[in-house]
Parts: sequence; structure tokens; C-alpha cells
Amino acid sequence: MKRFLAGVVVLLFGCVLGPVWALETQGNVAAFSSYSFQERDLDYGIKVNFSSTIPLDSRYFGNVELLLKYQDENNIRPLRVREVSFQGVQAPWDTTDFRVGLLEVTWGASDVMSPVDVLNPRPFSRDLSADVLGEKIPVPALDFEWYLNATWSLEFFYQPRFVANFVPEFVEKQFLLPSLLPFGVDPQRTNVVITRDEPPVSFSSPIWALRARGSMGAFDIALSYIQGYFLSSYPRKTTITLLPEGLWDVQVHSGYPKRSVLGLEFQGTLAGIEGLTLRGDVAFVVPEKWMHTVILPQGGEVQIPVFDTPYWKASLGVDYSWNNTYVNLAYLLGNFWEEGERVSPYGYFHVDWQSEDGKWKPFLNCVTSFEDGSTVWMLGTEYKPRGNWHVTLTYSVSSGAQGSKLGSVGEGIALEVKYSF
Amino acid sequence: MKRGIVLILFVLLLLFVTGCVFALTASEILDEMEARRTRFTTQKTVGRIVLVDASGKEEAREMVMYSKDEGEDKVSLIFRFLSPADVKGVTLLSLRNGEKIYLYMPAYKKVRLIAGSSKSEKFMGTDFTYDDLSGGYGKEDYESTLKGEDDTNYYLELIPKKADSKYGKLSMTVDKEKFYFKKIDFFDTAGNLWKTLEVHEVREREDGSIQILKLSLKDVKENHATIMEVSSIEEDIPLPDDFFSVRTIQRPTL
Repeated sequence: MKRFLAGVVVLLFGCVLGPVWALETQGNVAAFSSYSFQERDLDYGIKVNFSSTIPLDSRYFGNVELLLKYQDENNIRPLRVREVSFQGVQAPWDTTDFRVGLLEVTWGASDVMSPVDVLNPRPFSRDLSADVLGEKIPVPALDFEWYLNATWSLEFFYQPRFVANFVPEFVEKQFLLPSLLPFGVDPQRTNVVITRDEPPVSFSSPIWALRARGSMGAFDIALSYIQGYFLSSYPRKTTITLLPEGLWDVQVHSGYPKRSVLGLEFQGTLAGIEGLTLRGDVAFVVPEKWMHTVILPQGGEVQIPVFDTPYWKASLGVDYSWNNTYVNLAYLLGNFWEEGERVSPYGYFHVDWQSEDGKWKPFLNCVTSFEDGSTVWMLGTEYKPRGNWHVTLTYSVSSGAQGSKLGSVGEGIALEVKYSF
Repeated sequence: MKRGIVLILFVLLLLFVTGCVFALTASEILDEMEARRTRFTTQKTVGRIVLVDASGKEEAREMVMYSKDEGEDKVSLIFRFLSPADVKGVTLLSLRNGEKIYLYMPAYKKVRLIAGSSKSEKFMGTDFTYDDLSGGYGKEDYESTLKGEDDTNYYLELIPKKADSKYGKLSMTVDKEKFYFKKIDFFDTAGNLWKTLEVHEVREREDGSIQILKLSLKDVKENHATIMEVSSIEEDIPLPDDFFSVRTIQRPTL
């Protein structure tokens, strides 16, 4: 059945996109699979990235980027729009550019898990590859940039509708149930119902952001401010009821707390150290005070603070390249999914080397939690056998106790074959 | 008879003296090459890059390049791949001979500043380094010596002034008539031949300046070559003052 569906997806792609093939298009088709040694589980899928730019005149463009993705589980939806936008370059005035539509917006200078790149929500993934971590869900928005001169600009982002991260319900329950253990709830005999209240985002009450960016000597910097909401939901009120048969009924009301994010981005070189680039993003997050109220089965309630005080997140890195070798070392304060008191420090290390003929690129990635010492290693290689073909093979293994930050990643192997067109 | 011998000696002496007077030094040859270099304020070049691997297999890439003479021998340029698919839209911005180099990769919607030594790394699989694309081999960067000449060529030796140069020396063959380099052999610091740059096709313009239309760069050590062919050149095209900027390289079309 799954194979049949995969075939249908590919056929659909051909039918839908055939008529527009004549436009200025590009993209890629990738088949991917991964095997978890612990869970003895094979995940696989196929995805087609397609993008097209339609010049309407010399200053106005239409952009379409689609991601057609079939995966055997946890897919947000098979056909995803990455971007559909109307773009103006030096429009409506010479000093301004804009995009409006369903947008993907990338902020931040760092290479890994930028804490200021939070305008777009993300699909769920267990994969830690850069390709997957880079996937985003587009948002309806206007992105308008005013260039004061050749080096300084002011960007305004306006989003009149809220879009959340995609987290499969079973994952949300996996995170929630352990927090209910202190109340005597048996996760094996529990029925959980989660309802989410969307934040009141509208045209008159939008999510908005400002960013000023420019150049100061050898450094490019940007200062940003985002006024919006967390993109993952947090429980506000949980009612636990013990049913007569010994089953537990848990009703969870979740919501999306407000947040303001003050960000700093920078990338630059140091005089006297050739090959070295410093890149970093720092975010100061001011959350709405958020309390999780648990109504206990025997009566009474417990208040659990979720967000109480402002906190910092950061990704500070240094990269160095020489003789086809590239090394990247970064300190991360928090990952994409950690907020508030959960934010913890990590170390990130990446090295790759490209063979002289450009065909092979072996790499090593390592992420370590400085809090509990759990670590993930990813060892692999990219291979370019010919023209537009790319093959990536990755072996990953983690260490750390059960329940540690990264120990649950486990041991696995992943293969991706990609053809660009 | 005596008068005949004296006349011959006089003619020979005259030839020797005028030869000494008119023989060019290496520095003067480089000056003449500089004088014959195409002058432009702005330039748009459309062309093709062919990568040739050790087995002779070729891979073609189309590109467009905009450049601007910033004065003081500084050139800013924007270089964009138009094909094939896996590099289409990848754009390089080099400001003032690589004082700052940015790379825009459309798949990531992000502009990356490239570090100093990356400038001597190969650009997108070609045999050209970011430095090669950023500027030329100026007289101020090399000590030059005339090593010989024949009917058609001058042969120069250039020694890099920078102590940290990847090259130990360059041997340059210069066309005597049109004053452009036909060939440059690049030697590593151990004295081994590393790369050979050859000019295969030029166009002499009405003002005597020389435009290179086809050249190849062969990495002898890696047995890999890059051929650049120009299909069209437009000069002194009107470009806004802020064209060579991070803003421009993010545009869908240039």
C-alpha cells in the first residue's frame, strides 16, 4: 500500500507540474530511508522539491516552491507548499524590496539552530540532518525591506495568521505523560485528549518583526525584534479524572504563550587569522507568564510554572577552512525545541573534507549536551557519482542515559539519493 | 674597402644601440599589458565554464558575470551560475578584489560571508580560486624579470611579493604584438609546476585593447581543467551605484 502511495505521489507530481515545465524551473527528487537498530524500524520516503520563478516584468516576480513528500509515518501532509509569493525588487520604490504570500523567511547568521530564525514553524522530524532541520512550514506574511544605502537596511515582517509547529499527537503525548506521573497517572491506562486554543492573531493584531542589518568593518550585524507567539503549544489546564474501571482520563487545554524576541546576528572575520569566520546569533526571549494548572482527581489543583522569567538562547560558532577541509565549532544555548527553563547548553562540531575530484565529501557531526553528557555522533559521506546525482550515507549513534537530552536518538543508518533537475 | 667595413660596423653598432634603447624591460611589458587591458567601468559577461576531469569527462556550467572597475586597481564582481540544476542561482559577490566575499545559495535563502583563506579555495568545483575570480595578477604583487624573447613572445618570470603566497613563481608568455598573456605556468613553492593558464581566443578592439574570449586553466597536479568561454560581453552598461551589494545577489534575476 505504501509503495502504491509513493507511486501515486510521483505520478501526481508529473500531472500537476507537467504544464508548468516550460517555465524557469529547478528542483530535485530524493529517495530517503533510515533504519533504527534499537527499534528495528525502517523509515523511508520520497520527496520532490520544485521551484519556479515567473518574471512578470523586470521588477516583479511570481515564486512557487513546492515540496511533495511521501514518508511512511509522521508526515505533516504529502504536498507541502514551501513558498508561493509575489516579489518586488526595487519596487514599489527603488529603495525597497518586498515579498508577500506564503513565505519562508530565514533570519540568523549561524549555521546551526539559530535562535532568531523563529518566524516559520517547522515540521516534526526525528532526523537530525541539516537537510531536515532546514525544513520549514510557510506562513502567510508580508516581508518588506527598505534599503537606506548599499550596506544598511530595515526589514519589516507582518503576519496576520498564526501557524504552529507540526507535532504528531503521539509525540505530544509522549512529552506530556511523564509530567503526569507524580500525580499517580498510569501512562498505560490513560486516555489523553488535547485541545489547543489558537492565539488571537489577525490583520489588526498581527505577529510582526523588525530587523535592521548592515555592515561594520569586517562584521555584518543585524538587530531584530519579534513580537509573536511560541510555535509549539504548552498546557494551560489539565484535568485528571480516575474512571471507575481504573482508567485515567486526562483532558489537556493547551495554548501558545506570547513572546518577544530581541535578537542579535553577526558574521565576520578577524584580521590576522585567515580562513576563520565568526558567526553567531543571540536571542533574549521575554515570554508571557504561563502557568499550567493541574486539576487533581481527588480534588484540588497544582500550579506548575511553565514560563516565568525572560531567558537567553544562543548559537555562537566559528568556522575555518583550508585545503578543501571545513571545520565548524559552535556553542548552542538551547535547541529548536527547548524553551524557558528547559534551555540547556550543547557543543556542536562538524568537519568535512572534499576530495580533489569533488566527488567525495566525508563528514563528521557531533552534538554533546553539556548538561548531562549525552552525545550524538553522525559519520557519513556525500558522493557525487555524476552530473546532478548526489548520494548521502550517514551512520549515527548516541550515548547517554535513558531520558537524557540526546541518548534516545539511538543507533541508525540513513541513505539519501538525490537527483537535481 | 675600409669605408665599407666602417659602414657595416656603424650599422651594427646602431642596431645594437637602438636594440638596447628599444628593448623592453619586464616592468615595461607589464605596463604595456596593463595599457592594453580592456578599459571599462562596468561589464556584463555571459559565458560557459567547462570542467574536465582526469578521465576527460566534461561538465558544462553556464554563467553570467557583472564587474565594475572601482579604481585603484580594484574590481567588484557578481558571478552567478545559470546551469546546471544543482548550482543554478548560486551567486558570488566579491567587493574590491575580494576585500569581502559573499556567497548566496538560493536553496538556503541565506547570504554567507566567506572567510579569508577560503579565497584561495576552489570556486564551485572549478580550478579557479575565489581570488582568481576577484582580480588579476597585478604588477604590485609580483617581482618581474624578463627571461627571454623570440619573434612572437616575451617570457617573463614573476615572483610573488607576499610571503604566504601559494605560488613560488609564475612563468608568463606574453604576445609581442598584442601584449596579452598567452600562457602562465604557476609553480608551487617547491618549484613544481602546479597550474597552467592558457588563452585560446582573443579579440582586439579598435582602440588596441585586448578582450579574452576563451581560456583554460589546468591543474597539473590534479589532472583537472576548467575552460571558460565568453559568448557575449557588454561594456559600460548602466548599473546603479548599489548594484554590487548583498541585496542584488538575492534577486531572482540579475
